[in-house]
Amino acid sequence: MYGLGLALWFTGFLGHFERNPGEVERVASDLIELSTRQNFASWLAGGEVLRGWARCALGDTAKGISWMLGGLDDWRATGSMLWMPYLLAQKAEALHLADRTSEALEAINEAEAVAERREERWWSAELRRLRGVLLAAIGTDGAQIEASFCEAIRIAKEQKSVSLEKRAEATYAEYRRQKANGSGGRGFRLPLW
Amino acid sequence: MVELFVLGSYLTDAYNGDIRRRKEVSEHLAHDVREGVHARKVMESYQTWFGEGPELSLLRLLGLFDRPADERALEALLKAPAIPGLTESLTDLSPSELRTVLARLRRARLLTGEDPHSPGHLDAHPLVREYFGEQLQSQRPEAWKECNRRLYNYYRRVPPQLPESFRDMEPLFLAVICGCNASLFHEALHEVYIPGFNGVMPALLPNVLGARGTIVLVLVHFFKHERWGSPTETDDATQSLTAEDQLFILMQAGMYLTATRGLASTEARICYQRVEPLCHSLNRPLVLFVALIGQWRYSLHTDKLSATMQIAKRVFSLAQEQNDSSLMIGAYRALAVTPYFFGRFRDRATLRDARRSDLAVGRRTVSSRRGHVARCYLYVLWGAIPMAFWRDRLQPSGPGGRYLASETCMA
Repeated sequence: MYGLGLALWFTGFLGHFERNPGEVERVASDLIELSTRQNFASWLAGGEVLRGWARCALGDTAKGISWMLGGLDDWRATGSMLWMPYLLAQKAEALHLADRTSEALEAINEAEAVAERREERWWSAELRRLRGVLLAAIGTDGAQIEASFCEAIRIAKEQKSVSLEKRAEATYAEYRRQKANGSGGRGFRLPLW
Repeated sequence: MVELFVLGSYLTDAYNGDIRRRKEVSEHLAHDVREGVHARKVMESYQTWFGEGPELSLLRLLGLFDRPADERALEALLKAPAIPGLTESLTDLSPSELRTVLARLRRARLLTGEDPHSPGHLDAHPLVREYFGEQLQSQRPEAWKECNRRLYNYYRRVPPQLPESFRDMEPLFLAVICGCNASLFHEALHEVYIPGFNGVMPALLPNVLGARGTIVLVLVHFFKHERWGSPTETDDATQSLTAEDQLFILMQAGMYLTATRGLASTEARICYQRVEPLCHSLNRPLVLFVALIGQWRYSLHTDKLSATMQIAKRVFSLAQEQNDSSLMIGAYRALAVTPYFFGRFRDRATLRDARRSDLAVGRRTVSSRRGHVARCYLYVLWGAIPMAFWRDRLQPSGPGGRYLASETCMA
């Protein structure tokens, strides 16, 4: 059963990588149900975070963020720091969807600090890309935005992560397109994914 | 509320209901607001008023239970010979005398009214049970032990061969707890815990009945002062836990603590660390491997990854020493997953280790489920294989998921 929890957890990740909130919500609900029945502390907390992200991505940001925050507290309460940069990135996405972009940037700062402290850098390229998206949304200086995207691409290349590299390049291209069209105004609305 | 009820009853019984005398019972309570203290003071007064006799003995017996005491368990405690210092005043009581004692306690609200759905069960407020239970354990330790020995012998015979529900299994849990309280550690382990929890259907309790939390509550009784990591010791050589027993208990604790308290459970890590010297002295490399994997997992969740990598290397060198393909699967996984979290997705060593893990899995599929999941995950992040391909294999409802689920249930 514990292995089943692990499989559901990673299935939730895949749903998130594919940007399929419906799938993530379904899997997260299964994970929460299994973990409640079987008393799995880590998977229960993780399931709450995934379900919260899915809820936000499906449009119900108030409920989704509250689930995510509860799940993150529960995750921390288990003492685990693994996957924290990734989970905080999900929190940042959710906050951005709720138009709370400055709080989203704080979540990214926290995620990067944790990643450096623990040397857990597998999601670092995505953290930089998200930083670029968030900075663009609040209309920060273009050099900072470009630096974030370039750093995201550099890290992904260095880590030889094809999917993260393509993702960063696509977002950067979209930023440059909007900038060239002068459609940014006071801020660019770049796709989160 | 319980203190108000008990105080009211006490004033009725002892002072003809004169409420002005309440201060004699609780005058020094105004400064003490801790929960339950008031009730305890009232119970102290009742104790003095009753004096040593059947009422107090019965209350102390109820203190052995954390739920309504069933008739047959009480019979086991009250049967002859009397337990010295506890049940002498109860064993020779006629049924009508016993009813009188019960009526007095009920009038004092120290016993709850009879539950028509559970005739014969006796119950008291948890504070009442706790007060008299603690008193029995601290002031009459030999009587407390003997009570637990009797309850152990009673509960161990109650559970059915094939339990269908969690409730069916409760006597089994209580038997182990009472056995440990009676210092019958060896017997409780070998005659109840191992056959009952790990015997015919090892996956039934944790997986089907979802009893992991309760198993943890039971297991802690095998540890000194209920502190994880230090299996208990006793003067009675026949009831001591042998080194093999300690190894078993520590591994069980590590496993169930990880599941119930999370992958970063410090208590689980302590158990896995304590296993190491036992494994060396008993020459049990396979158990040592599992314990090292437990430490690696804890480190992965809490430490700097460079520290985690050191443990992964220890896991690997042990697997190499043993030259066992199933151990190599786990070792390669530890070696491959750690750099993955560093962000070294295509690190030459990572790739090599993951591929070797693949080859090993191809030769031997047992114990490979976690390796399988981890590999899928790595491949997806590398972007090397379409996600959908792996997703189908990871989903519990898909063919791979069924394989994962059934294999895990069987494990």
